[in-house]
Amino acid sequence: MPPILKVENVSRFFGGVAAIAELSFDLDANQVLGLIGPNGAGKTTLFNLITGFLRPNRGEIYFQDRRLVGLKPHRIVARGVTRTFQIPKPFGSLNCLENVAVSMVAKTGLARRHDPEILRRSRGIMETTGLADKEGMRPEALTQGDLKKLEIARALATSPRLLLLDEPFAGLTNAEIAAISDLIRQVHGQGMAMIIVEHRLRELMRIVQRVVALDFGEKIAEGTPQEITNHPRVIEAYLGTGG
Amino acid sequence: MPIGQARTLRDHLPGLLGLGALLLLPAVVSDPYVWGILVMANLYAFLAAGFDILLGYAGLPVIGYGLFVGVGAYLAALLNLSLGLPPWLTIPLGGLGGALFGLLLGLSCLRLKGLYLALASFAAAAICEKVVIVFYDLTNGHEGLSGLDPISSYPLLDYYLSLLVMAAGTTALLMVVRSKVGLVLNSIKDNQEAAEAVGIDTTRYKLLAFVLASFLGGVGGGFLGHYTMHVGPNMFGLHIALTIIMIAIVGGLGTITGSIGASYLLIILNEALREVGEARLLIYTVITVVIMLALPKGVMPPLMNLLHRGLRLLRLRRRDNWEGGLRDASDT
Repeated sequence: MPPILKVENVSRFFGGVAAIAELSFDLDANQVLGLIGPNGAGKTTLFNLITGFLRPNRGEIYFQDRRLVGLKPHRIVARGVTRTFQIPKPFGSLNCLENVAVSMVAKTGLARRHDPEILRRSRGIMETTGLADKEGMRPEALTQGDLKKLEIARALATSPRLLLLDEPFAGLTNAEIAAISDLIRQVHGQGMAMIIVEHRLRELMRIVQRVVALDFGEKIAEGTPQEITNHPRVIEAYLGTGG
Repeated sequence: MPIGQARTLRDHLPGLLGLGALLLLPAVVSDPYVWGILVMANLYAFLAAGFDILLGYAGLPVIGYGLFVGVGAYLAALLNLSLGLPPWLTIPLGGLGGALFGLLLGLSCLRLKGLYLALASFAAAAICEKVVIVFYDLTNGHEGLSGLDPISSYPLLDYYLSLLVMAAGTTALLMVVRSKVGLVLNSIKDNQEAAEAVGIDTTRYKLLAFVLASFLGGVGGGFLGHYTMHVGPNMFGLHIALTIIMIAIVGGLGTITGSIGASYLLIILNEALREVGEARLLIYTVITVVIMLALPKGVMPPLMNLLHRGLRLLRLRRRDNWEGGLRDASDT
């Protein structure tokens, strides 16, 4: 089966500094890939490049054999690639149900704000993500864990084939991490490919099949979770070379 | 109105009561001079509701809103004076002219946000004001154009026509913001990056807000020109724009209908203070600032709460009477 995502020799510079340098990797359909690296390694930059928020200076990105470079973010979402943010960015003036529904509502006819099919689908997603009892609440009243779930719920509403999760465990308690991990497994079980950026390596390694490690924008290792945790360059990048 | 909840007659009641009161107002006030003030209140309510789409719903601080008022006014004036077209035709054409300038400004300012957008729109209005002055042969420069056909020959008819335009404009805007457009514009205002990340074409919706608001600006400008029978370069300027912005803020951004209450309040206040003389502007500004500080969400939300509480009390009293009646009946 051909890869669903192909990143080919992608580079992105900020004022002469390479945030991403000649990066290449593939992602198979229905695979969950972990993307790790110290702060400043270029993980979020890569998400921005794949989702059209930034344009690479060099290289190509293909999703289902179609070029993504140069497309606007909403066009890339329409192709089936959606992301979440490291710090949740809910729509503060909308309630939780509206946060989930708005992407579907935006694609319908003018007068269909209250489309029953959209309501049914939105409530289904709220149920899946464990937010069913929070639909009328404003995001400001949610816990950090629920805000992370709302980010995922909002992304799921776009019916993605590839979901990019930016630090879904950051700032969460162990119980909340367990709940989000279960949610990720459940979503993956429905046949969705994922790339997950995460610093909580122990928790991440339990849910991914493959890992790409970055440092200073370069790929320093790629392999199974087992291979990556024992890889000398990954250990060096995280712990340093010592005295 | 949250998604999935249908509007009931009770939700429409305050609006219907307000419209009824405005329809009956001339029966209480018979002075044509006062009707003239009310015409201006209706016009500014209409213009402020248009501005509310930009700032209150899409989060676009277009302080050069006078640009659209000026374009609509001058286009209506030129069509009326040069081609002899009647006001019922020149005013909507003025709206279309305003919408075209709104589209152009929107396209050229798409990447700008916040203060930069505010300054760019202000600069565009200032440039158009100067252009109007430079093309003296066509626009009569600083003097402006006079002798436009009036809206009607009857002050009372002017009032009802302005009320019709205001009611139609605000109703149309309410329908738009209560459709999917309002929800999507709110999401863009809350966080444009997040809106793009869930696949919303933010450019399209921001342009829609520009076109809608500028159409209303153009219609309002055309109406104002015909009503005063004069248009001048000052219509592009900050004075009219700031009055509109102040009314929208005092009324409550993101309410549309708040502009009506605030326009009546501020336009009447401005007139009432005329007798004070020099200190008028100072007192007017202080009162406006105090209202803004005391009611940061505008006059409309507390007013609506009060109205709903009153309606609830009335209903309770009616139920009390009914239950009291039952008790009385069982006692006998």
